[in-house]
Amino acid sequence: MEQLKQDQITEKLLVVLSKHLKFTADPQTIPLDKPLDELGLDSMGAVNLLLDLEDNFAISFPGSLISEDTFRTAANLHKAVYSLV
Amino acid sequence: MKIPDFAFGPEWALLELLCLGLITEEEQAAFTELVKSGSLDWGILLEQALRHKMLPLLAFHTIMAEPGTAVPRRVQDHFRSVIDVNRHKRTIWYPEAHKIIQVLGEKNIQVLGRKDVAFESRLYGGNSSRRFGDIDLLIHPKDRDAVLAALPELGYQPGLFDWNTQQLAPIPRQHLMIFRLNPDHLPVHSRLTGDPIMQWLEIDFANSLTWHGSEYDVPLDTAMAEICYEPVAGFPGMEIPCLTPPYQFISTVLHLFREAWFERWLEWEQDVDLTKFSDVIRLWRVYEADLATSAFAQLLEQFKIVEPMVWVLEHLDRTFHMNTVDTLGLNGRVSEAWLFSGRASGKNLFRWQGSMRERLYTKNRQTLFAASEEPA
Repeated sequence: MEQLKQDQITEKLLVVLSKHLKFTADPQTIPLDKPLDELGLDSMGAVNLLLDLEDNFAISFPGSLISEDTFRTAANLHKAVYSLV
Repeated sequence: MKIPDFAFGPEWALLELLCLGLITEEEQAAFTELVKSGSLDWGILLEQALRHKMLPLLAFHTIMAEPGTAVPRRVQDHFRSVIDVNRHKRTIWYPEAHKIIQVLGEKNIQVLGRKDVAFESRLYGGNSSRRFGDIDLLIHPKDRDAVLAALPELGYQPGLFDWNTQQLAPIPRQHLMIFRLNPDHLPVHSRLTGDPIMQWLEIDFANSLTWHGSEYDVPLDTAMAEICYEPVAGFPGMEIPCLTPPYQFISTVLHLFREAWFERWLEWEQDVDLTKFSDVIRLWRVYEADLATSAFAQLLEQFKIVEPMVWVLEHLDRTFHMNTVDTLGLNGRVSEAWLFSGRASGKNLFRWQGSMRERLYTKNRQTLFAASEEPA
């Protein structure tokens, strides 16, 4: 059950994320551990991504999670979103 | 240094003259002659002065040039009113900056004046001719939390003035996120003053001479180790601690570079303007003895900031007929491709077209930014 929830979050997260990456448009090909800045996400893009994630998952990122570390990789982002849903 | 040509019209030449500082008799004579010529289109001039945050500077020097009937009466009236407002603002703005520096200093927090706080008196004559915006200060990153804790004691809170309600409004969440993800500045703090003209004050604390995530770095420990004090004209005994001229110059040039090189500043309508070049030119001319030296050029090499510095100085030389790059022995250190590069989102580099003069002059700069993007 837990795994199913994780997989669903991953799938949805990658779809949202793909809209904000300059160099990777296909959600299926986003490497979970590759730095997102290398995929074309800068800090301004991160802000828009964060707002988009909040809308899509009906969550609100607390200040403690709005950090560079959260936006470093898709895996880190997944961990943050998973902790909030 | 040459008097500007009229390729972009007499109005633009007048603004470029103001940027040079009207230091020499030749510049002053050229300015007065233009003002009195009767050839200026005041609509064009006022619009460009507004775009480049130069209205008080234009107003002050035009009135001082004793234009007689060469300037329409209503324009003269407006200029006098702009000067009056600016003079009033200065009586509040400087004592406030000084007080913040003093109070935080008593808490062992080193605070230095930046930008206009640092050089309004020396570079602009302390005559209220430079526009007063937020109060720009510099702190060390280690003091961020201490400053945030102390600001409420000084009456400040995170927020921006809402003119419609005449109250402070919370900073939009999106802006707060930007501050959090780019910790090179503290979130903007403001306070109401109760003054009918300058109704609020806004402070901008920077804690870096570059920007978060930058490939360029100037260690603040080094920059803040030795400071100087700038007397404030019109306030006997008041002095503002500042970076020494070499670091003030580096800070000002890199600030211009950041706002000119990153495309997002254009999107935010904060792309480079004449005032920023004016600050750099005046710093160079006033502190030439400190800056036009091999020791200063060596400092740029040491910090590995030759590329962004020459990006700005080369454009400055070409636009205002100066000679800073050659004086520093930095000729040929960057390519033409670099000079016309910028950074788009996602770390992409892009090329812009035209000259810096065209970029400053044109009202729709997007037309110059339509060139191809390529990954960094």
